[in-house]
Amino acid sequence: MSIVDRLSDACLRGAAGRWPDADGMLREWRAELAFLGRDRSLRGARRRIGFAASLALSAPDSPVRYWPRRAGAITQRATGHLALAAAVTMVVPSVALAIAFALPGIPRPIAGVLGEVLVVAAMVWIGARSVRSAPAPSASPWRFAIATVVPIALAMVVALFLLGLPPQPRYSVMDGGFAEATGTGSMIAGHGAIAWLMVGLWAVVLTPAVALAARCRHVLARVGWLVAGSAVGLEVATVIAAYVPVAGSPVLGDAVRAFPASLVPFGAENLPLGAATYVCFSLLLCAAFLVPAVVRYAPDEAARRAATARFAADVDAPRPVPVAGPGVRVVAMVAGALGILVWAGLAAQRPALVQGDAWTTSMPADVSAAAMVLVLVALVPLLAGRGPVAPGVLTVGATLGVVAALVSGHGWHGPAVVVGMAVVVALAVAAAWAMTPRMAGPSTSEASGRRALVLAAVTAPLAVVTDALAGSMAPHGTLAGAYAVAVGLATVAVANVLAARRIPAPMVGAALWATMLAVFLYAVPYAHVHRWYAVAPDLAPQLVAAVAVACFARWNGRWRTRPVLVMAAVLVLASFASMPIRDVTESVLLTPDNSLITAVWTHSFVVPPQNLVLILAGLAVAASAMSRPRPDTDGALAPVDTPEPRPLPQG
Amino acid sequence: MGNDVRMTASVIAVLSAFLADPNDERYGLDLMKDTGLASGTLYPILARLERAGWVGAAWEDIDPAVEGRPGRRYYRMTPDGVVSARHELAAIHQRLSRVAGLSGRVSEA
Repeated sequence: MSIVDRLSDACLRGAAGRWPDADGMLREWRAELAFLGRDRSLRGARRRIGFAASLALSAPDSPVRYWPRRAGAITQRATGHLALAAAVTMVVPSVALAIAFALPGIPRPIAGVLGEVLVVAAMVWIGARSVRSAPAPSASPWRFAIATVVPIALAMVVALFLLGLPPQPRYSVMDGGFAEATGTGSMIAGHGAIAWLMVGLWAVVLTPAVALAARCRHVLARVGWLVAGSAVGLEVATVIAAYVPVAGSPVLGDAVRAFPASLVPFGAENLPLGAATYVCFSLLLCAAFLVPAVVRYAPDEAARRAATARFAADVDAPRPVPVAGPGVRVVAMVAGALGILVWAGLAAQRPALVQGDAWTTSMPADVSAAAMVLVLVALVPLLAGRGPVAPGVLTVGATLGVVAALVSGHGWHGPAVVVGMAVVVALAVAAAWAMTPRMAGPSTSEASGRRALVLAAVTAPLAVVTDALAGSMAPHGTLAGAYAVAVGLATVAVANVLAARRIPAPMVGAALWATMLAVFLYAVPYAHVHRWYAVAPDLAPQLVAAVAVACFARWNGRWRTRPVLVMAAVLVLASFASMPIRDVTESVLLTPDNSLITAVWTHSFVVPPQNLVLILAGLAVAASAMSRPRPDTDGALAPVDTPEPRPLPQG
Repeated sequence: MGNDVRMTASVIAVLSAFLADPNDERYGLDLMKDTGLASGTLYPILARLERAGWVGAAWEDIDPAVEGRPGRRYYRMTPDGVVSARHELAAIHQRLSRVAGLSGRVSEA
């Protein structure tokens, strides 16, 4: 059996696996392939490969087993879980810091551990929900989530103690680890050998690669493993690159340098790790909740098909967020108002609060982020029942971020600032309240997407202005947690877009993998502190958005010029908006002492507001794509509108 | 029999190939050659037509050891499928003719 025959047969097997009558289809295709196999020339080989590859990359005529329907439904549901997990990671650190602040007698590591316990408990709960809502729900989701989250969480805490690192709840490696743990554990249920490859701290970078491998193994036999292996290779290359000197940049790899303040000495290889884990967190979180449900093995075929059909129905007819009861709405209003007051109050008093050690200094920013989350969470039940919730909530979130950046950048404080910020937020909430019903209705998917795109276009110039007015400083009020929400949700949106279209799984995996690659390109230059590569960090979310644009551009055979132009404008504006941040980074990074490390560290915590803009664009694409009727594989004919005959000119 | 066959350019091509001789039995490669469609496009369409009852399928009754090849699966239009397909194609032809007529009148003007 030649390589071509093996490859062709692997393609056929992969394709047949997605059809309801897998055995019958495989038998039929093999018969045709055998006929083609009589021609042993190069042309014959090309025809055999073409025959098999076309089937492997096509969608079966099955609404149940076709994976994008499952993925679309899962991403739709996972969005809530993802947002919840991101919110937890934003809120819990502030709780721990508040404990340390309010009870100075308690050792701060203990406060940090308390925070971590909260994170673990929350992640277990979220993980259990995620596992339960997977197409092949586990019989014991709680036990499953506990078994996957707790051991790795404990291992990380112990490792940090052994390394002498302060167990700050904000430490991103841990957050990413929790997320990864949930996904890893889920995969262990069905793909033990694959999952065990991922276990460990470094494995947090492998989740998307393994997801891709799990899909590709049906198509190209062992190629999927090569893809997963390439992730390891990329990681090794990242570390090696950290030791390669680049002309004109400080060389960190020739010696271990002491990290300033309380952190332990570290090598240059830790920089890419730290930066990558921080930025990868959201992507991993996303992958952790998406991957297991998509690739999980289910021994009971009938149950899996029934569950998948139910999910597919959700994709075709998304259920609106149910209306909340009056009690919930009252609580939400009170909580939201409280969040606004805390958020505005902290921003107004910021100059007085940011004195002291690192913990005390970071407390206002963390509590401020938690207050923002509180406002956004409270907005959900208030908007529920009026229409799509996400655009309104995210618009308010973007407004909060922009206002915080302005106030922080100018150092404004005092009662007038509190009133002003509260008024701005109240106006944003009112706008969301008024906007949401206009996005509701049976045929509003495209219209709502268009309006959300307009919102993004409006917010993008705000981001530019904010950066300019803020004195070229990154907004302090927008923390990495916000970045997690932004990039994570954008990734979910893109996954939705890709899943809603009939795009083969390997291409989706490649798109997500390309995003990961961009993130790593971001990580490497921070070891070198090379100014050219410093452009990379802002490219990762923009790459995600670009993929969304590319997928959205041609839908069902029709080009959609206007939305694409709007999104392109958003991307251009976002690129300009990110420039001042890089200027500041460069000027600090060129300092020849350890302060450059501090700059890198600080830079990892902030998020350019344009990412919040990109999220809106991504969600707009997703909202528009998700409820659109699915095109047939072969491209349906556009309906022919017969115009009324116009009167012919006389003479 | 369901009437849920969505008429697309590819479906029209497949139906036209079948209707060239409705009694003829066709197999996948044969249809691919006639329609110019790729396998990944053709087989979902065949499955759709079969589910709608427009096309029936049967395995070739041969001895693979004797023939030196596995048995193929042959497709043939059902009587109801022939009627429905002709009706749908005629309707599309009529609509396209109207559009063509309108555009011709406009260009003449």
